[in-house]
Amino acid sequence: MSETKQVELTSKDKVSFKVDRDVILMSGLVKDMLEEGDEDETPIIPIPNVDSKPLQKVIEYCQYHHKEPAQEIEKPLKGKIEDVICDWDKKFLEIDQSLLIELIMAANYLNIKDLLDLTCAKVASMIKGKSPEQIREMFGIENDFTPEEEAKIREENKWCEEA
Amino acid sequence: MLCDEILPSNMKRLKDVFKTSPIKRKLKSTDDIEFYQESWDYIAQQVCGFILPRFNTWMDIDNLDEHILLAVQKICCSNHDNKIFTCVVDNIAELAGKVHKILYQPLILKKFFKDQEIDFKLINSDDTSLAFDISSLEGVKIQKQYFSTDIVLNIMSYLSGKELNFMSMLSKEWSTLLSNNLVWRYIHKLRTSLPQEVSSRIGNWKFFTVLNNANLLQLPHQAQLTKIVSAFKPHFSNNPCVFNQFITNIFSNTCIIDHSTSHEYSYDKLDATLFIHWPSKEATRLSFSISYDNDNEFRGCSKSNYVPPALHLSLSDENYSFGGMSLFQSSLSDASPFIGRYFATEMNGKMATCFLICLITLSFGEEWLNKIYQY
Repeated sequence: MSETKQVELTSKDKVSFKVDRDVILMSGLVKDMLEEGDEDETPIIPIPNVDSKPLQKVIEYCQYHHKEPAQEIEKPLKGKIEDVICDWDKKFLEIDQSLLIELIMAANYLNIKDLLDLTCAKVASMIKGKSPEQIREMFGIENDFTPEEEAKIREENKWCEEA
Repeated sequence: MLCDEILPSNMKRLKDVFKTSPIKRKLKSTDDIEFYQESWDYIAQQVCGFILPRFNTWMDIDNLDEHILLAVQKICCSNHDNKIFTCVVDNIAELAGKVHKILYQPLILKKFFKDQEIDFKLINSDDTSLAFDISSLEGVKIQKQYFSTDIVLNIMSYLSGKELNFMSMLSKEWSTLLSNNLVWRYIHKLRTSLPQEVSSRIGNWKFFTVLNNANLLQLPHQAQLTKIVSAFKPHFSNNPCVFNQFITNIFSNTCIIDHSTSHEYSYDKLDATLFIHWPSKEATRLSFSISYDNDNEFRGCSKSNYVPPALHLSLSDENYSFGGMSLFQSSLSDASPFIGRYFATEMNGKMATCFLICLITLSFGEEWLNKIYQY
């Protein structure tokens, strides 16, 4: 019986992960890099933009979803994301915010659309129902408007606050 | 020839690097020089592989491959006698990642080239529009990470119109990104042109969502129109005939919705009609009216000779109006990116406006239009 072909991913902080080739092919980037590789060996693929922690989460996601395709998330979200995703994804997203942000960057870099959609939807879900001040605080965004500029932009956007 | 430009010390370094790289197998049988050249071809191919699909989102440059390839080669060529070389070529994946990242995220691109004392124009040496388009890709910062525009767009696509407006109020960076974004800019312009009572009804922009879901930005000109039609089709699943008729009437500039007709068009035929008739027809007048009763409930939809009390969409040679307010005149005169980018080569401004009105009507008029049969 032939062994499952594997790929070794090396994170930015030099941690290696062996993962089944079929699993990691969910990544468009890895898929591109493997296309011309020799399948008899275990290729080593450096992932220099992704730390081990988010990379581990990415692999975890791929391991589950390469057999259980993710369902499309409604746009726009009508409520919290937890209402529209499966239990596994709910648990998967129980992570702190900084890891979530890293996960978005990782999904984007590795070109894993379903994971990118899931994590972006999670961020959108966190934004929903919050005021600009609360969103700024949540994401560490500095308000660099002058008082005059802020007054102007508030006036321009008044309609949506009143809606 | 790239190989002629490599310093011996760097050649040794490259060999060491590629020993552990995933492509070393491909190069086993080659000698050192060929090995390097082939590697660069491979690198360029790989880099283009993940840049191009994204870059096509923003640029309409026919020879994009060559541009990107040129960029990659120039980074390499410029490197052989300065620090970029050792900085970039740590290994193939890092190179690909960096090039990917720097091209994909202009802020990093600018910073990268600035740090290396290389003019940003290097990439843009023979095409100024490239620099312009790259600059439209400004990202925004979230928790010390730069989110590229398409990540932000992805997040935005899950938000309602009201929430999107909140995002534009976060900071100058966010405001700039949102106002620079083509679709957003168009929506924003439209929304701010609407009467208050109308704008408050359309906080949830199906329009944006549909456009975004359809990945319109990634399609070539003609395919965009086809895709737009297809994208809106599901929203009229109960009344395909009405949808076809509606689209056809607007596109063919007859501005009449004939409720009695049952003629159906295939989408292929519909698309063909668009392209054959549009450029040859003078869009002298297109009117489309939506009416409400006193409680703002939908009453119906009619052709131009019936002017409803609350809302009237019309387009004519001299006057672009929406409920009495100027809507498209400025966007046409200043060559709105949305129009200019997607439609300028296909049609003139008036035709583009017809199309946009169709989209507007379809977007915030979806639920109303679904009731046409009941009217």
